[in-house]
Amino acid sequence: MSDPLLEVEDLTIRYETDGGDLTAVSGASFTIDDGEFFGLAGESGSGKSTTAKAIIGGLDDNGRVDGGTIRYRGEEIQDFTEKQLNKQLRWKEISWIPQSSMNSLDPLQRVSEQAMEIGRVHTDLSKEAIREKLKEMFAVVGLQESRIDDYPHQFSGGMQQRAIIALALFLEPSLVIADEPTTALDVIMQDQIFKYLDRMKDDAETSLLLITHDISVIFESCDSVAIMHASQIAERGSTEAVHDNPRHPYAFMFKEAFPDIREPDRDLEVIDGYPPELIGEVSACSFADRCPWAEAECRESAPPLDPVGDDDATHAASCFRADEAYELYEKHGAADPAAPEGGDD
Amino acid sequence: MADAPLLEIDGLEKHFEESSNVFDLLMRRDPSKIQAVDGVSFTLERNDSIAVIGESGCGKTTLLLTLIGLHDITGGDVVYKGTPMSSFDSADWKEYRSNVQVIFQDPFNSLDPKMTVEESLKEPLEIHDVGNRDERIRQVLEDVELRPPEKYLKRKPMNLSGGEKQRVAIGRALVLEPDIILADEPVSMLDVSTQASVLRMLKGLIDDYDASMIYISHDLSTVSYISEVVNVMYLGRIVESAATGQLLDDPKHPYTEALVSAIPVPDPHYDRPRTEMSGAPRDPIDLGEGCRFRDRCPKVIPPDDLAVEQAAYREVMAFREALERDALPLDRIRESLDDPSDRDALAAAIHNEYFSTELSGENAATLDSALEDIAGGNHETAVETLRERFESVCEITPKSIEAETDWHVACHQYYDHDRQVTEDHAITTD
Amino acid sequence: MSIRDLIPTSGAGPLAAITSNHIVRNFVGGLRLMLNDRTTAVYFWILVGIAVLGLVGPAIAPYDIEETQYDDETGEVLSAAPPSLDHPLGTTFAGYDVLSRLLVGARPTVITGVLGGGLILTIGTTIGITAGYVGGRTETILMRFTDFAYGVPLIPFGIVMITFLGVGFISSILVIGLILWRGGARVIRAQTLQIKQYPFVKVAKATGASRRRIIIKHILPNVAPMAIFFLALGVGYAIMLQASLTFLGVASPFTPSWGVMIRNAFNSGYMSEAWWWSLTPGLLIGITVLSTFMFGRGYEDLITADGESVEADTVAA
Repeated sequence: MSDPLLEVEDLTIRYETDGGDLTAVSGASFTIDDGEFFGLAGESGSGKSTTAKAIIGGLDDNGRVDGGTIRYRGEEIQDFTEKQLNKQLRWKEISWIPQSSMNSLDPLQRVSEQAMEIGRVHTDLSKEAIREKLKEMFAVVGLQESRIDDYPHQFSGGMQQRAIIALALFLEPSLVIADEPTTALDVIMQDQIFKYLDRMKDDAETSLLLITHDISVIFESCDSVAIMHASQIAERGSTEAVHDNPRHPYAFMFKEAFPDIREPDRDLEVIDGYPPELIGEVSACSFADRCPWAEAECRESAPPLDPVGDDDATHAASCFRADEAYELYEKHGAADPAAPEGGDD
Repeated sequence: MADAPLLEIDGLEKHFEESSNVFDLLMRRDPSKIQAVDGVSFTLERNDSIAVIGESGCGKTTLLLTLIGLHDITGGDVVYKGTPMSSFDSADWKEYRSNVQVIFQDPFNSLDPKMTVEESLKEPLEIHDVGNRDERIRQVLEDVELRPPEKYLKRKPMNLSGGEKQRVAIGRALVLEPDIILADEPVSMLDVSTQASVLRMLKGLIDDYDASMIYISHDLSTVSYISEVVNVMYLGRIVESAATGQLLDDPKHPYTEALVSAIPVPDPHYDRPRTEMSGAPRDPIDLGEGCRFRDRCPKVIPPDDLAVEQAAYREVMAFREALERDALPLDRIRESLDDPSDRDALAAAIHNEYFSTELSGENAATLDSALEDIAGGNHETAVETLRERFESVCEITPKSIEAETDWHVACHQYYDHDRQVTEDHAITTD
Repeated sequence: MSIRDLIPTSGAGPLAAITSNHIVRNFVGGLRLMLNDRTTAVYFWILVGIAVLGLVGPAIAPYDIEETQYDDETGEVLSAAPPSLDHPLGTTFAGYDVLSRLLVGARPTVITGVLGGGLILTIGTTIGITAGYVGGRTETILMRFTDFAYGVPLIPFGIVMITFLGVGFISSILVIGLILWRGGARVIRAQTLQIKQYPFVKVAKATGASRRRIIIKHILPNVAPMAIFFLALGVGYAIMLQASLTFLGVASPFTPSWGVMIRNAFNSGYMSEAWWWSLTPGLLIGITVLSTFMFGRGYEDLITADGESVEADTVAA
């Protein structure tokens, strides 16, 4: 088997702040293969955006990779310089659709001109070739080919989003990283965009790293998922495995917090508290203070991301009570009947 | 006035005029009208909880702003406890404003960053000169689950989390014990794990405070949690109105159908087909008569006597729409041709741009003739040619009818099929 | 302005009413707060120091500012002499003691800064907020007026003003203040337009807040950072420009404000050689402007952040 497209192993990322070294990502590990849609889920402060930024070399100035590796097609890239990133990776191997990207098109440049710039910096392609590629991609995302010379303001909001996707795809990268690409859009437009992303997966075997808080979209459109909570990966695996057999309390409570249109009257789950900010080494489960089933050992050491042992080899959870938490939840809801009285808080 | 509904919205219209520029003045062109809200009607009784759902640009926010008096009504009326807004005097306004409160979507800008929680909560009480301020503020903080209240009184927004800020915003809306609360997506910017608890709290408080709520959102999936009735809005009009469960189960209007079927289902085993819809809603400018969804509607109704594939007919309708609004990008298409003066090539290029299906027989001939006319600069002829053959009943503004008990739809599908479009474009029954 | 807007009905008496007003309470509380923050306190004390100089300067100046200084040994005029024990900041071309001129010049400088900066701030902010918030024809009129102010050249305007106000120190400040508010007005109007859109303003309006209330309680505190910036700029401009008006006869060249000292040094042609003459007043002006700005911003930041400490415990979101 060839190398996986992207392999993240034991990645730790910290930010230098006045209050100390803030740990944004702690020991994260996952792989993405060719033609695989991978969803990175989590709420604010989970570290999902930071992970994605690190892959493309877009960490803020005060952020640094403190441990672990990021391998792209077998080659370690976490220490690449700007030059290496630009020459080898950006736009033509890995491209990036930032959050609220509707405003990331230069209003003073035609879309074709922006493509020209990107193409010139990162490839040796001729002008004509760049235009052709852009036209092809416009067709894929459902924009009229003759519009590549339009200015951004001539497109409506949703169409701008698609133009950005076209720009992210036209150099045929192997991996597209999309940070909340459809959060600001309505469901119909979101569906339209995913239609085009599906096409891209079928036609070109492009992989997608989708970063979002919307687990419904991930369960529906992605092949695999990793759910993060305050720097740690709580659970990871194929979407089917994680959906059918969730093990980590955060994973299944998070899932239950989302409405399912097939069961409109179901009570939505609520998770108390909010994610902690972590300084320095993470030596506990970051979810412990919010978890109904937390025990003493959860606060003493960080649970390792261990395989769950079902059909999916990649299915793993970082919880000391992974074998029983979900069953307890199903029986008694978000309260652990076996817990001693008067726990924390 | 005991029998008058709490709030009756009657054919409400809010139109804006695009500011005229020098050219318009010179050419004596009337400024374009933006019909943000165009004939909205519904009733709110005591303890009702109603949702207004729609995509961005459908006018729901303008509706909200008009209901709180920040926009002047340009047509129709809003009747509060029997008194129409159009005839409010300043005393009426004062009463209305103390009884109708609003919660906005963005927790980061809903509170004045320079004011403490206490000051923000005190402001409505000061404006309406209500007594017992400290007590009321304390009570409201308890109600929105910010306990103990003392801890929060002197805090400023920058020291509150998103969820806490939104709770304060809700508290501010409740502190005057209003009759009606208008909420614009109050939880969509919060973390998902807090959304449910804030929604649950809001719902409980509406009950406790004996208030009614109009909840505005683009997210159909959370609406069932909080509202009993849903009004679906599209380009300024309500297209369907029904009990939430029924609407989600079996939507009648094609737009509602498209919305409901585009909601992601969080299940990798479930194979939900992607939406068939293309494009986006038009700009709400100079919309004219007829159903506003007809350029995108999968169920747009062809004339009875026309033999045509539905998919092809949809494309014809979308094309006619662009043609009649003078929105064909002829210049751009011409520029992309090898020989811009070649009319045949232009006609073919326009065809390519708008049609992926094939018409046959008379239909194809009519279309070709129209394309020729367009390439030759004869817009009116083309419009007429196409209208004669392809005119749809959907070009008449559908009235909202009661398809079932308490279930209103504005769609020609639900009319008697004996209606025909006559010469002068009026609906008649045959 | 309705007093009811400012005084809560549960107040105890007039003093309590005034001190419980949100702006005043903030200021007093703010001062206390600010003295805890070292950086802001430093700038505060610098400004206090400069104000004190303005107050006592003339009293402590070692020499008369127009007394020609002579070399004790040679008996020559000490023209543009470098710093020495007798004259720690040297002398001017005309032989006047620089240090004394500096000390005496503090007072007119401070007055110029305060008055000029204050005028620029007040007019600019008032026009900016009114135009931005009220909109419509009022905005158009005010903004066209601002454009007009942009078009007015300072010097000719100064000349015209002296026919009405007469030559003098105060008239020069008025000239500056009546024109230079224009930059602040534009920017503050833009900011007001932005703030107007925020939900908290819409909520206040929807609840029935009067226009005055919204402007005073919501808009004003939120344009404060920008206003402070223009205040600091205004202080600097006022001081420097007042000096350039002297050579026209608008202001009196005999009032040796720091700006005038720099001007005189420049005009004498000895500016680069007799560096002591222009450097110290220049430095002092710079420090004044900087301190005004830094103190203003620091104070503003502290007001925004609030004195309550935030506990780090987990609170139900």
